Amino acid sequence: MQWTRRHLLGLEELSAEEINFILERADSFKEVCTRPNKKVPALVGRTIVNMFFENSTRTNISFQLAARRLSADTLMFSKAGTSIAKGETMLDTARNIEAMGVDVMVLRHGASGAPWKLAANVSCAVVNAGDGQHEHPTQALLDLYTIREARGRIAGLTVGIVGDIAHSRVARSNIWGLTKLGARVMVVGPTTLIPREVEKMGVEVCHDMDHAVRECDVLNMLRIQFERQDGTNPFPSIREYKQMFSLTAERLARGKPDLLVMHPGPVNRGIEISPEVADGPKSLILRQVANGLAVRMAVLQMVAGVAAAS
Amino acid sequence: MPAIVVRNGELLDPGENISGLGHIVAKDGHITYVGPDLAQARMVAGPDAMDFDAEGLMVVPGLIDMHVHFREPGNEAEETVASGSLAAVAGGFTSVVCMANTDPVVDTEADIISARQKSELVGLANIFPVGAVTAGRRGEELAEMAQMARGGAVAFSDDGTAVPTAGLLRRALSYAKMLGRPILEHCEDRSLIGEGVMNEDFVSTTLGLNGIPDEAEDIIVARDVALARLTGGHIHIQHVSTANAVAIIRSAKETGVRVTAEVTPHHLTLNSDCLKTYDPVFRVSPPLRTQTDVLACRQGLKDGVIDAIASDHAPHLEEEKELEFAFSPPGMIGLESTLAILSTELVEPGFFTWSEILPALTAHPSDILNLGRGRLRLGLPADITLIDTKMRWQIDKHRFHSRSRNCPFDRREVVGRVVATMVGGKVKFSLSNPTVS
Amino acid sequence: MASKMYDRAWLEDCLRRLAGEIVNNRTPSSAKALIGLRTRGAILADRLGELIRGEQGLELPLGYLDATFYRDDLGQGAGLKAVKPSEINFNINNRDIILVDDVISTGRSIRAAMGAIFDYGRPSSIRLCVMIDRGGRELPVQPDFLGARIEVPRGGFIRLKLHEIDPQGDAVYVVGPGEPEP
Repeated sequence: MQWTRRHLLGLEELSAEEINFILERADSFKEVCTRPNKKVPALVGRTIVNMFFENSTRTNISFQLAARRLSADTLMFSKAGTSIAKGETMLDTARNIEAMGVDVMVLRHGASGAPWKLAANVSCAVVNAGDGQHEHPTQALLDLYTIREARGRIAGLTVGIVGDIAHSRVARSNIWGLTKLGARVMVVGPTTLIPREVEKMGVEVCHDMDHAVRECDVLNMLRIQFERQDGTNPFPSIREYKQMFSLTAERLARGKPDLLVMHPGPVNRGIEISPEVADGPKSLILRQVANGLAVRMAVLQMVAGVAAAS
Repeated sequence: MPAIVVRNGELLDPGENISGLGHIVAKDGHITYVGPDLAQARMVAGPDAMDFDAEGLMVVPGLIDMHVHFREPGNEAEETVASGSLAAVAGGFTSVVCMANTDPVVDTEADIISARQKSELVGLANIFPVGAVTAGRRGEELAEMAQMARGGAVAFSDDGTAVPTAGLLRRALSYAKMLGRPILEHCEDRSLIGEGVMNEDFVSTTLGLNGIPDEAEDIIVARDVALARLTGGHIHIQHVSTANAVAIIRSAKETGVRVTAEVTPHHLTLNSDCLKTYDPVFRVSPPLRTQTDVLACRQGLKDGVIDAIASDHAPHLEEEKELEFAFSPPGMIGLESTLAILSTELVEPGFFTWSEILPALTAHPSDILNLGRGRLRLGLPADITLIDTKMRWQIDKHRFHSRSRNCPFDRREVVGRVVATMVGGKVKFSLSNPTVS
Repeated sequence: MASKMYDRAWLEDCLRRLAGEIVNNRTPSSAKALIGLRTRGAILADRLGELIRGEQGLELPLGYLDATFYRDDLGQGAGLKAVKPSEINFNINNRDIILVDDVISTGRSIRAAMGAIFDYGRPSSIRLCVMIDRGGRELPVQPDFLGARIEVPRGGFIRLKLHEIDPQGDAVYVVGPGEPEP
């Protein structure tokens, strides 16, 4: 096949063939990243701008480094907080930046759907670096890449996604990607963090962490946030959550011997995952970060290629 | 003012048992003849009467929209009384009922009188103001409802939000009963809305948008009919959107509770699948539900459980609707698309006849609010709408008279168009130059 | 209809001759290595390496290169087809690199490949070995070891097929303008 998409917005709209195409291309960039000279001239003279309407140091750095390793010029625009009715809208900002002649916009935004709105209104390529609670396609791609690298395959594996499924873009993108590539997916968490009719996405719902640990080949632990002050916290206390869902060394020991552990970061050590597990031999966390670069290089090179050709 | 003879139209008013070729005379602002005898019509009209040729047109009582938002005072860039009135008559509406959530809120007699005076100055559609239930719509203390009633408020509503507590609504219903006015209630439980911006269903799960469950509406509807039973007051449920709410209203009506209800054109024709594009034009409160709910609302309308169709015309600026979905305000405009959408989506496919639809746009809202209109009856104000039910056209929001453009039906190919609108015996809107002789 | 120019026997003879020329060629250092340009250049490099080992008793380091990310035609939609990782698992510093490809025309792929090679280190020289030179050069790049020269009319092209990946087996086709793929 040949890559034809000018934007990477979400995994829901990609075919299994397209996902595999990206993963295979990431293999090539992973090789580039092992060389002493880690840079290729693929995007010389192209400009990639990171538009971050929500703080995220890691994703920003990963995309910037990926762009630079492709020899693109990079710009960073950061405006934390949400846009407001009276202020400049995202589209105003984007049209201004586009007028300067950029080739790819990498958008992180707190509102679900924002990248679709952007893509419909600019002529450059758009890459979704996380939109609200909706999708985070490059994170899921690097998760898929890491599983495939560690286990040689994805089809037939059982992958548990543990934590706040309802509010997680990482969970949604992972569910689409894993199910398309033939994995069995289990979403694990308290009832109050499981979104309505999620089974229709092709996953099993589980509220018993010990069961999930026994069943799964891979556990992807989501970051848990517990900071609402208005009495609408979805579970009573961190202490109770940890007791029920935290991945501890003791729990992990009851799983399959080759069980692997992932986390999209940043880790709340001692909450969703204990430090010895996060840093232990079954943890793929740092490999995820390394693979993120290769996956993002692949994505940027492909969408920039389509944008340049159109 | 010369009389007008509307001749050779297809008259239709099911409530008055009028159906068929006939003529109407409007003289001194009122209907002075309805019937099939043109000679008699001319005699009633007098020698200097004008003729309005309605051949091939459906002639119905002037439409009434019992739920609109004109943003004056406070947000005149979105809509004014003048622009909203023009949109109304262009959409075939001779009377509109304006909600109280302007800025400032309509919660005193002076506000009511000012609203009426403005509409008289504009002189297009009849505007009937609604006063707030609670002072400032804050949901704390009752507003001065009796004084507002004296000033001309036809009902009371905190529309935009529900009256927050059962205790306060009980008092409001009881008090409004004494004044002979209904409470119009926007039924959504605040705590169940939470951060929700759309219906809670599989679509909200995949879109990563926070959902609002049906029960946010159902619970308030159930509470409200219980309080209407308790007080004997008249509760009117605004923009019904769930199958359960229809069922609750149905059973309340069966047990004699004074409850009436309205549904919007969008809740009769659109479902949450529309949101898949993240286009904020589909954000509305209450949210677009599932197709099951859409069908239940249609059935409720058919069975008379739902009495009225109202647009909930809610203008918003284009730039507000250019925001990300979750940041854009809820609401759609409807005055200039309602008739065509009902015609295209409900009548043309055979789900409803015009005789089933019309009372919900005429006699029923008039009866709910005691407006004394909505019928082709001798002596009533000559509010008449003429419709070409066969005309095919494309909805184009840029040609709307409303100041706002947030119409979810833009670009649709539709059938059925308002050709002329007559208010108090005067032609206030005509699509082309009508044959006036 | 594409015409078959050469068959398997020719290809084998040609490779044997080229293997000999490569071994006997005097290069600045005495440490040669083969790098095949993906996809068919890599297979040809495999075969050359095999011949050199079998007939000359010489084991040359062997690598594969995919120069997609070094191409200059991003705007023409290049770089959107499938790629494979490069594999150069030896130190190329101070080596004489024999770059192997199937067909040379404009010379742009070779330029891209040379750019890529330099990102792995500093070879003492690069020599170029190609099976077919079809003409049409746009850059000053010439093969040092050549199988055959075939002039192809404008709009036509050469297809070198290899039994490892092509159902047609080893063969060289000339495809005239407007003719279908063999």
